Amino acid sequence: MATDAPLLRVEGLRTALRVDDAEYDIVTGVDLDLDEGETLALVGESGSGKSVTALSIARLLGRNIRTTGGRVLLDGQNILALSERQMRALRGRDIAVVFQEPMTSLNPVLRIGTQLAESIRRRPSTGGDIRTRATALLESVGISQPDQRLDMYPHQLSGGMRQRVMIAIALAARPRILIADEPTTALDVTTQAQILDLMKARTDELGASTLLITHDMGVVARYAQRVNVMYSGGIVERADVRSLFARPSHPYTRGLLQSMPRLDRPRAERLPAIEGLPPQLTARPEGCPFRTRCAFQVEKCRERPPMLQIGPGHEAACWRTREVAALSGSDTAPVPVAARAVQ
Amino acid sequence: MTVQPVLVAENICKMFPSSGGRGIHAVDQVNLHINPGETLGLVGESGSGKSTLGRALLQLDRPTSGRVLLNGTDITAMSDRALRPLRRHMQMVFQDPQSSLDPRMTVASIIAEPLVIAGAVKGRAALRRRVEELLDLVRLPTSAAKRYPQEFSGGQKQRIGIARAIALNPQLIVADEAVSSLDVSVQAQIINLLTDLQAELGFACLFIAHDLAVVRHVADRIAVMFLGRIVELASSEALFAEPSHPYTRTLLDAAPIPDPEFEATRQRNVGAFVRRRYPAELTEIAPGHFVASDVPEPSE
Repeated sequence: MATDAPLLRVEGLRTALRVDDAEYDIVTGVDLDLDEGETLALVGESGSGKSVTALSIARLLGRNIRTTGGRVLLDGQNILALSERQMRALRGRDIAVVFQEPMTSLNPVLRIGTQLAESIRRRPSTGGDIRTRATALLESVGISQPDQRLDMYPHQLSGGMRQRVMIAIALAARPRILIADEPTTALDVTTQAQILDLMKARTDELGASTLLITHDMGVVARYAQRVNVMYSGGIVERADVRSLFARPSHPYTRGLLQSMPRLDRPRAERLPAIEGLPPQLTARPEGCPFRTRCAFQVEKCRERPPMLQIGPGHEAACWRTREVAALSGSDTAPVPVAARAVQ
Repeated sequence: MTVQPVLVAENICKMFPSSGGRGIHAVDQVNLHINPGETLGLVGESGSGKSTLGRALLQLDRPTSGRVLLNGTDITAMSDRALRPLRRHMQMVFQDPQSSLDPRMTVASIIAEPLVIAGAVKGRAALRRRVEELLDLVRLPTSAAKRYPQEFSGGQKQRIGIARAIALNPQLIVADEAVSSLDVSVQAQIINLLTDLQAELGFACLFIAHDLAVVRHVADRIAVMFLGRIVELASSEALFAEPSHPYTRTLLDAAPIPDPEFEATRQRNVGAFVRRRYPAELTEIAPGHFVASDVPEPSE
């Protein structure tokens, strides 16, 4: 199995924003593999290009943004070359998307049941009438009184419930790939926990793969098997989830993990913040995009570093990745703590 | 010897009219105090009333009932006019620096505004010096003074908002989700800035946030709010070591921990928590550790 081609392969993806007569790359050449049944996290801060990468894959880019290069292979077929009609058939059926704000993707003037039915019809029936299946779907995402909710409009539901409906709609056609773009960022932490647990349970049942876009390293640790870290339009590190947290090997990943206050560590006096700001789209430094904020910066960083292997399936785009990786171990050793005592 | 708190809230209620006619208790019978120089964290979900409470304490929206004492003086009974000279002691930092900074004003005039209104600094030269001093305190270059808010990033805008808040050397700052919209790497910079300034200037802080890890990092004591009421209040250490209200435990359970080894074997039950109003009365279960009973009120 391990040598099989991935379910979805992204190669050299470039997506650019058009401003007046100039085009600026938001995504600067992303490679990414999504395997059968796995959850792959794409993490990064706002402006890193993680959402645009996801939208490029689903071909749901807004005006003034277009993919200028690369391939997205599903079953060996480049979906970037499909006609819009073919793509529409594929979306929903093979690839479904859940966004941060359900109100932007739910139709405010259509009842929940109508919107679910549309999605159910994408996959020829496996028995049962549509209303029965819609009710079962709502129930499967933890919505009480599902039969009554089918006749409601989106605004009659709470934010958490709308996101549950979105997940039900996304999974109605039994897609092979779910792209979830910050699906719970706007929700409270208790609702977030319930919805992500549920999303995981339902995709596991379907055997679907999930591309989870998030900025939250806690969410990554809980739900992902593998992680790709994005910074300023490119992937700077990729690894299986344990390896990434145990041995962050790009200075940005390391900085990100260190700068968060953590419930599972003794309270730090001061947070080791990453100084400065991410570069603007129009003013990326040449070479490594992180070098202007990087404590490890050397002359060589003016040249763009390739992905360098640091362990099995673990690589980082940094000239000094071995030194960065070697720093971990002593200072990231877990300490028994409050949050654990809660259990 | 006990210190006099900067601020004491007694039985604060804030009601908003509702279509049913009975009104909604956004904040209900809240009691708390904030000591000089300390940070009180206030956590709760959206709609729990934490921002409403913050605004009611500062008299930005007057509470429906209850008293707020600033340095022992009841400010709830004061007219707006009488209150004005006291406002300099209490300032606010908002979540969204984008909408809380006037885009037509230069950074210098935004920061100078409270100084001018309070008549705290006389003369243009002195005002300019104070603005430069404040920019320096929030680690912005003096060249920022002549520029406009939209020329700055989110983190830099929050520095401007903080400079404005500390301009009059307040005794209390209410920071309402002040770092919530910032990316992690920038968030750490602003948290560090706030703690540095607090150590230097000695103001007390009511730090309102929904991120437990952030609140634990900055707060000495933490109040947990649920449906308009405080359900638990304790020192930061005690709250995390011995969370005692079911809602507090649910919050802790729900927070994802950035450690895959831990998450892989974690047992939790976030869905079991019963969402209902808990009694407003708090019981002291250990010195300084207060908890609302987890049985529902008789009336409900």
